Amino acid sequence: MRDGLFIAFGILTILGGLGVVVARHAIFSAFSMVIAFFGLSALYVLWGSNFIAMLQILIYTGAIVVLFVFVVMLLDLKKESSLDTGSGLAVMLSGATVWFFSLLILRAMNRGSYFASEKVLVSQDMRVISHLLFTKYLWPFEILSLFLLALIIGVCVLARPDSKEGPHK
Amino acid sequence: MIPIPSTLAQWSHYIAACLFALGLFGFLIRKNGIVVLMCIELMLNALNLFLVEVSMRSSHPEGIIFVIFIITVAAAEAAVGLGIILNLYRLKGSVHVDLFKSLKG
Amino acid sequence: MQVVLFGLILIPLLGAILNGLVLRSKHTRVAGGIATACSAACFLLALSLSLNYFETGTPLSAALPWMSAGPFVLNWGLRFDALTLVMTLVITGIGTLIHLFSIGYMDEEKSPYRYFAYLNLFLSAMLLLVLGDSLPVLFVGWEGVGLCSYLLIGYWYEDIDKANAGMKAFVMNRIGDAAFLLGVFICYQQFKSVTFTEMAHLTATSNSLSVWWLEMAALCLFVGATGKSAQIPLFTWLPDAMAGPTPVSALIHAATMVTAGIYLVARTAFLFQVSPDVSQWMAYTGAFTALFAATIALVQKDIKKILAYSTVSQLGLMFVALGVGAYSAALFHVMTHAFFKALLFLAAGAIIHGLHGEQDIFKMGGLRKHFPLTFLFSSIAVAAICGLPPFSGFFSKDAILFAALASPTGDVLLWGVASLASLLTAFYMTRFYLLIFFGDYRGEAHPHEGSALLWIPLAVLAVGSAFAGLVGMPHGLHMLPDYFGQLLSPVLPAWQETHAFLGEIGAMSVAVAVAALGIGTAFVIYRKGTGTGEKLARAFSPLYKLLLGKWYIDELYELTIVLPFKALCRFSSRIIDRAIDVTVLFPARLARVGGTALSLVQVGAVQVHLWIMVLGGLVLLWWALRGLVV
Repeated sequence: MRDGLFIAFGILTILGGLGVVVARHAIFSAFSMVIAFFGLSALYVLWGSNFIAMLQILIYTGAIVVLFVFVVMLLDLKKESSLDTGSGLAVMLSGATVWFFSLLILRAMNRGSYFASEKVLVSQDMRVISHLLFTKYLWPFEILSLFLLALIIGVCVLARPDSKEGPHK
Repeated sequence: MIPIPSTLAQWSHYIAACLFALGLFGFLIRKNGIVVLMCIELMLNALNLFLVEVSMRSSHPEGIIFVIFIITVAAAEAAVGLGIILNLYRLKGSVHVDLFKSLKG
Repeated sequence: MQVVLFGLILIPLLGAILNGLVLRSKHTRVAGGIATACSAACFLLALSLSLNYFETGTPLSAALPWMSAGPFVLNWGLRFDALTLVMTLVITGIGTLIHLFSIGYMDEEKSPYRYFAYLNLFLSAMLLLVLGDSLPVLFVGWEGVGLCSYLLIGYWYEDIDKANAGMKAFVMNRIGDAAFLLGVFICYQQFKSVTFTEMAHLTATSNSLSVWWLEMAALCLFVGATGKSAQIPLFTWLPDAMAGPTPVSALIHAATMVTAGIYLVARTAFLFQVSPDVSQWMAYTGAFTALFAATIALVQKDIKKILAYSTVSQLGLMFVALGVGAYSAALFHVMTHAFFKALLFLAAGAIIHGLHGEQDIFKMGGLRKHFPLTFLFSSIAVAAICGLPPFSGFFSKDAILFAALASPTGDVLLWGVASLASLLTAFYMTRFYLLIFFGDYRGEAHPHEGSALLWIPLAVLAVGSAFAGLVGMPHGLHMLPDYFGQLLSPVLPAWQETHAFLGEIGAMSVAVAVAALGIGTAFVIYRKGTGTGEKLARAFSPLYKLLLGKWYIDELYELTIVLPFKALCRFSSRIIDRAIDVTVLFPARLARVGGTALSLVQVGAVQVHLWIMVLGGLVLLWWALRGLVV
C-alpha cells in the first residue's frame, strides 16, 4: 500500500516537474509546479514528516508559487509559438550533461552507508524540531531572520519604480 | 544501465534525481527568466526530498532543520529573483535571459 | 634643587609652545614679551644656580629615565658644573638681550609668533646641549639647535635664496653630525658608557682602552665640531646663514650656537688630551680657518657678511686654543666674543633697521651723526675685537695667542698664523667701522636711530664687551687674579707653560702692536672714504677678485661634490629607477594582461555562466565520488 502510494505520488511529482520545463506559457509552468509540490508534500507525509509536508503546502504552494503567478500576470507575457529553447545542439548537449549529472547524484545518494545506518522510522514531531531550532540552531535561526529583513529592504529597493530615471520616461 | 530500484529509499532517490535532472535541464535550456527561476525551485525541492528521507530514516532531526532553512532561503531567492526579473522587464520589455548581457567583461 | 635644572630647559620650551602653538599672536609686543619673559626667567634661574655653585662649589646633577636596552641605560641626565655655568650664563644672558632687541627689530612682521617661538625653542635646545651630561643628550640639543638654526635662517621662506641658505646650513651640519654620531658610537664601544664623568674617569684610570680608537673618537667629534662651528672645510654655510634676521645672526650664528663645537671639544677634553695628533690637527685647522676667513672679510661689502667671516675667523682662533690645550682660554674667548660679536651684530641690525634694509657698507658712511648711541657702542665692540687693551677681546685673544706660542704643543707657526689673522681682523674691522660711521653718507635711505628697545640691549652688551675681559686677567700683569681660569680649573685641564722666545708680556706687546698696525693701515686707506681702497683693488685686481669671490670655495664644492652628486642622482633616477620600475611593473602588467584575457570568459549571457557552473559542479562531483563503491 505504502510503496504503491509512494510510486504513484512520485510519478505525479515528476510529471509536474516535466510540465514546468516543457510548458510554453509561464503560467502553465507555475501550475505544473503546484502539482509537483503537491506530490512532494505527499511524499513527505509518506516519509513521516508531516511538518515539512505542511510547510511545503503553505510556503511553496501558498507563497512562492503565488508570487510567481502574480509576477507572470503582472508582466503580461505572451504565449510563445514554440518552446523558447536554444538550438537543437544545445538541447542535446544539455540533455547529455544532465543525464551524466543525475547519474552521479544518484550514485552519491545510493551510498551504502545510508542503508547501513537504517533505523526504525520515527515520527519527528514539531516539538523536537522546535527545541533544536531554539537551542542548538538558535544563532543560524536568528541570523536568518536578519537575512530576511535585509531581503525585504533589498526587494523594496529593487522593485520600486525609479520615478526619476525609469526606463519608460 | 540503471538498476531497478528495490527499496522505498531507492525509489525516493530516483524520484529526487529525476526532479533534479528536470530542474537542471530546464535551467539550461529555457530562456524565459521566470521559468529558469522555477527550475531552480525544482532542484531545491529535489534536495529537500533527499534530506527528509535521510533524516527520517536515520532519526537525525538535523535534516529537517536544514530543510526549513532551505525553504526560507528558497523563498528569499524567489523574491529577489523575481524582483530582478521585474526590473529587467522594465528595462528591456522582456524576460528573455539572452537579452541581458551588460555584465560582459 | 636638582629638579630646577629641568626648569632651565622647560621654561623656554613652554614659551615656544605658548607662542608657536597656543597664542599665535600677530602682535610683536605680545609674542616678544612672552618670549623675553621666558628667557629672562631662564637667566634669573641660571643666575641663582650660578650663585649656588659659587657658594657650594659642587656641581648639580639631575636625571630622568630615558631608555634602557639590555646593559645600555640612558637617562635624561643634566649636570651643572663650571663649564655649563659659563655657557648657560652666556646663552641666557645674551639670549635675553637679543630677545629684547628682537621686539624692536621685528616690529613689522606678519607672523612674529613664529620667530619668537623658534627663538625660545633654540634657547631650550641650546641649554639642553650645554646641560646634558652624556653625549646622546648633548646630541639631542645639538640637533635641536641645528633645527632652530635652519628654521630661523629660512624664516623669510618666501625668498627662495633664504630658504636655500637654511637648507645649506642644515645639510652641511648633517655632514658634521654624521661624524659626531660615529664618535658617540666609538665612545660607547670603548667605554660602555656615554656620560662625560664616567668616560673621563675611565680615560684616566683604565688601561684597557685602545688609544687608536680614542683618537678616532676624538677625530670624529672634532669633525662634528667643525660642522657646527664653521671650520674648514665645513664653514661655507655660516656666511649664507646671514639670510636670517639679524638678531638671529647675533644669537645663533655668532654668540651661542656656533660655539657649540668649542663647547663639545672642551667637554670631551679628556679625549683630546690623549689624542695629541688630533689636537695638533685641530690647532692648525683653526689657525688656517682664522686666516682664511679673515682674508675674505677684507673685501666684503655686505655688513653682515663681514661679521660672519669675522665670526668664522674668531672661531678658528678658539680652535687654536683648544688644539694647544688652552681650553679655558678658548672658553674665555667664547664668552668675550659672545659679548662683542653679539653687540656688533645688533649694532649692524640697528643700522640695517634704521636704513630700511640697506646692507652694503659702501652705501653707508658718516652714520655717527645719525646713530650716535649705536656709534658709541660699536666703537667699544670694534676696539674689543681688534684686541685693544683693556677691552675684553684683548685679554681673551692674548690668552689664545700666548698659548699658541708657549704651550708644549704650540709653535711659532701657529702663533704667526694666528697673529696674522689678528692683524687682518684689526684691519677689516677698522675698515668696517670707518666706512660705516665716518666720511660722507653715500646711501639713499633716510637714516634714523631706533627705539629704546634697540639700543638698551646694545648698552648692556657694550658694558660686557668693555669689561668682561677683566675676569680673566693673565698672570703676567699681576693686577687681578684669573678668576675665569680658577672657575673652570675643576672641569678643564690646564696647560703647562714652556719656554718660548717671547714671555707673556712680550707676546702681549706684539699682539697690541699687531692690532695697532692693522688699525693704522686701515685708517690710512679708508680715512677719506672708499677712494684709496678702490685704487688698491684695481692694483691687485686678481687677488681682489679671488677674495671677493670667497676663494671660490662654494664653486669648488659645487664642482667637486654637488655636480658629481647630481650626476649620481640622475644616473639613479634614469637607470636604477627604471630598472626598479620595470621589475615592479612587470607583475602589474602581467596581472592586467591576465585579467583582460580572463575577462573574455565573462560573456555576460546568463546561461553561458550557468553552463560553466554546471560543468564545474560536474567535475567537482565526479572528483568527490571517485572510487566510491555504490
